[in-house]
Amino acid sequence: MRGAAGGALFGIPLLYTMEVWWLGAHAPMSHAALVFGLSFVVVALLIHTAGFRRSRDMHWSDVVLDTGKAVALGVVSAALVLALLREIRVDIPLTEIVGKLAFEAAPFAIGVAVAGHVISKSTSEEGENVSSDSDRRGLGGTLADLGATMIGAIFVGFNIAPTDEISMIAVASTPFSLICLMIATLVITYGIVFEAGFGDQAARRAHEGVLQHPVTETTVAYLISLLTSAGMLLFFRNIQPGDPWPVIVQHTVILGLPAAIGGAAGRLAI
Amino acid sequence: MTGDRSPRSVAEWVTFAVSAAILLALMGTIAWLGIQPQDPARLTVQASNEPREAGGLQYVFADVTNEGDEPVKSLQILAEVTVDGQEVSAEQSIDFLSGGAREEVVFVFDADVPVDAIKMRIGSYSIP
Repeated sequence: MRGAAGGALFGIPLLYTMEVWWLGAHAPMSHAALVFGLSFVVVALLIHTAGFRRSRDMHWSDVVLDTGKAVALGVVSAALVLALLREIRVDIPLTEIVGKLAFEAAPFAIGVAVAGHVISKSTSEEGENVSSDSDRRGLGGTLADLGATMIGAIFVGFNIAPTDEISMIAVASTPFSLICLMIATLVITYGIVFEAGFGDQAARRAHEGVLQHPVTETTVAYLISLLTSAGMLLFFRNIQPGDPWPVIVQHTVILGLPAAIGGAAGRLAI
Repeated sequence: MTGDRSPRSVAEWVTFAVSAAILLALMGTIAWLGIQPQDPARLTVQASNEPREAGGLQYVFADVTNEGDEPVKSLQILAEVTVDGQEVSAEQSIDFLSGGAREEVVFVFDADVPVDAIKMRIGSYSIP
């Protein structure tokens, strides 16, 4: 979960870049293989460097094993999100799917490696005492969470909201894919904040206020991210008040994924 | 999830219920859309505002509407007119036009082109 969450944090913005889809769709298989190979090398170097800094006795076999796991998880995570965005489908040639995965899995794999080896585990996982963190109690903590969600959503979503990719994904989407995307967004953001081990998770779980429980926090934060997404799309005129409401819903849900991930990162940062 | 957490307060239950209801309503609406019969794209183009003249050119405004439900991509719109036996044309393109959506486009012609004789039509589009 931690690896997949890290992959999502790093990889999602690149998944909303049409040039990368086209690169992958038109890349010769030799080029795709080269990209896979380079991803493997970069992730291996990252894992080796992080492991060396920690223990100084990391064996190369461990590095290769961890790299294999990170790249595999990166490929699976990228494939799932690309499928939700309908950029890979069963009616697309296999060479195109492989090409897209080669390019899109690289940032996911790096994210998996960073999550697993660079970002330190939460204090609760390392057995330290969990502080009550009085600053996070009550209304103040709730408002801080909501504000951090909105800021994180804007931080990530602002780069994506004005782009044509949102409209491209929207016209290719189906009601079923949109519902799956909403469910996936809730699961991914829950995982990032409460399961991945980023930040002090026990403190988050002990958090008191209107958003005390993880499910409540995840649900409300997603709603905030969707509202923020709609605001950004309106700001950049990617949707307009006179547009048919299905168009507004499609665009908002599609931007809602990166925005909610940004929101989750924002809540971890505060 | 953790055993030491206190039960949900009334405020939290209300917050959770309202948020979950909104999200479920959104999902339900999307699902409802999914089971509705989808009309194929029905594209129309017609003059909208009065033409504007400036710098020896005429700017002819038109609304392009997709009256169907299915979206279209790479839409080409043509405006054609015959002047002194010669066909004069202008074209415009729209990347995406969703079902029910409308876009305004502008064609530019020389000032001597009779605006009333301009015929506008959809040239082509692709299905996403």
